[in-house]
Amino acid sequence: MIDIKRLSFGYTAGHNVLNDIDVLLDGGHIHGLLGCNGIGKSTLLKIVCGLMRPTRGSVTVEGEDPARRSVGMLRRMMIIPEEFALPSVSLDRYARLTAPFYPSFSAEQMTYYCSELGVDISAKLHNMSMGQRKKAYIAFAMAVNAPILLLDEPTNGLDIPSKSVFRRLLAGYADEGRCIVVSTHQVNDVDSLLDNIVILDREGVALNATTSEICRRISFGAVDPARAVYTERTVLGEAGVAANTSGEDSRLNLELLFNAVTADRRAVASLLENR
Amino acid sequence: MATINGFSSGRVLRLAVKHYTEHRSAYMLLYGMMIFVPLLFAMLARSASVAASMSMAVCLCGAFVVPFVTMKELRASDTKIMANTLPVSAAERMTFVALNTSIVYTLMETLCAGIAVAAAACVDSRGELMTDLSHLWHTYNGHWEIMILVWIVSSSNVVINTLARKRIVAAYVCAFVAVMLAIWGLERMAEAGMMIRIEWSERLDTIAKTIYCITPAGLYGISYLLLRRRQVKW
Repeated sequence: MIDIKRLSFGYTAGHNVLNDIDVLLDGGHIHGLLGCNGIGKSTLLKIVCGLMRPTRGSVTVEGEDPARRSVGMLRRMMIIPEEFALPSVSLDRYARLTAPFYPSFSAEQMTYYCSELGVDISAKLHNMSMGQRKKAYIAFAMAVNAPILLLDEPTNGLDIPSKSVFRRLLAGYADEGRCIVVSTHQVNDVDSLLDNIVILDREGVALNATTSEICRRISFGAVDPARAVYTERTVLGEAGVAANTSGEDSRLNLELLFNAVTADRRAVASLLENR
Repeated sequence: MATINGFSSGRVLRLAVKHYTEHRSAYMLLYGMMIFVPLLFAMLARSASVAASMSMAVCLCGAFVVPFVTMKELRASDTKIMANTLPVSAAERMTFVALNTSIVYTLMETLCAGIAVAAAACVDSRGELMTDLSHLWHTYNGHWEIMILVWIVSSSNVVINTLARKRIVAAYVCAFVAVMLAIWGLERMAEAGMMIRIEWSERLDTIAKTIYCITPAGLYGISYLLLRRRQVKW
C-alpha cells in the first residue's frame, strides 16, 4: 500500500533528516514507526500524505505519488497529527461539515467510538481539554473508514483508561484491507497492537520486521550476558536482548528492542538473519 | 453538482460552508467592525456622508484581513496538516479563496456600508439618506476602479499569504518594502530620463483599464500556481 524507496529528505540543503528509507507498508497490518525524537517520524508521515516532497527517492501510496495530492488519494487517507487545533463547533457539527468530503464516513460508528472513549458529541471542541480533543478527533478519523490511517503520537495526552480503549478500538479497526501506521516513541502504549515494527535511525531503517518474526528469533529479559547483544540495568535487575534458542516465541519487549537497535542496529539485525 | 476533470463545484460549496461555519466569529467581528467604525465616525461628525467615506477606508483594511482569515488554516502550524489533507484539489481551494476574497467580500462590504450609512442618516441633522446612499453606490459601482482596486489589494494579499510560510508579518513587510523600492526606482528612472513619455490617448486608456481589470485575475492565477507547490511544502 505504501511503498517508500530510497527516500531522503532534508529541511535545509545538505542536512538530511531522513536518509535512504526503504520500506514497504502493506495493508492488513498495524505498523509501528519508532525512532528517537527528531529522527523524522512525523516528517515521514507528512511525506506519505503528500504534505512534503522527498529530496531523493520516491513514495507511492496505492501506486500513486502522494505529492500529486489527488482528491481520490486524499479521500482514502486520514492523518491524526500529534498536535492540532479544532474549530469552536461541536464534534457533531464538525462531522456534518467535514464528513461530506469522505464518502465512507459513518455517523453511527463515530457515535459508537465517542461513547467508548467517553467523548460528549455535542460539546464544543474548542472548550475541550487536549486529551478530550484528541479522543474526539480519533473518533472522527476512525469513523471516516479510510483504508490508510496515519497516527502521529496518538496516545499523547490520553489518560490511562482511554489508552486501553484506544488500543481496543484500533485493533477492531484493523482489517485485511487497511494499513495503519502508528508513529510513536511511547512504545509501551502500543506494543500489544503492532504486528510490524519499523525503527528509524540517522542511517535509515534500522529494523523492519514483523512482531512474530522478532518473537521467534529474539528473546528479551533475563538473558545470559555472554550471549546478549545488548544489556541494560533495570529496576528488576539486568535485562537484555539475545537470540531466541528456546524454540518458543518470546514475549516482545519493545522498549528493550528499541534500545538495543538504537545502541547497535547491526547486532540486532544479525539475530534476525540467523536461522 | 458539476464535476469537470476532477473539479467539483459541490466540493467548493461544501468547503465554503465548512469555512464560514468554522470561522463565523472572525467574519462576524470583521463585518461588525465594517458597520460600527463608519457609523462611529458618522455619529461623531453628525454626518452620514462621513460613513460613506469611512466605509471606503475600512473596505481597503478588510481587503488585508479577509485573505488572512481565508488562508490561515492552511498556514497555521496547528491546523495546516488537517486543512491540507482535506480531499479538495488546489483548483477547488483557490476557486473558493478567489470568490471569498473578491465577489463575496465586496458584496458583504457594500451591504455593511449601506447599513452603516442608513443608520448614520438617523443622526444626520441634514437627513439626506438617499443622497448618501447614492454617494455610496457611486463610490462602489459608479467608479468601477475602486472595486477593482479592492480586488487588486485582496488578490495581492492572497499571493502574500500563499508565499508566506510562518512569518506573515515579515512577508507583509517585505512586500511593502518591495513596493516602496519599485516606486522609488521608477521615480529615479523618470528623473534620469530613462522613461519614455507617451501621450495619453483613448486607446492607451483602454489598454490601461484592461490591464487594471485583468490584474486581480492574474494575481489569483499566480496564487493558484503557488498553492499547488506550497501545499506540498507548507
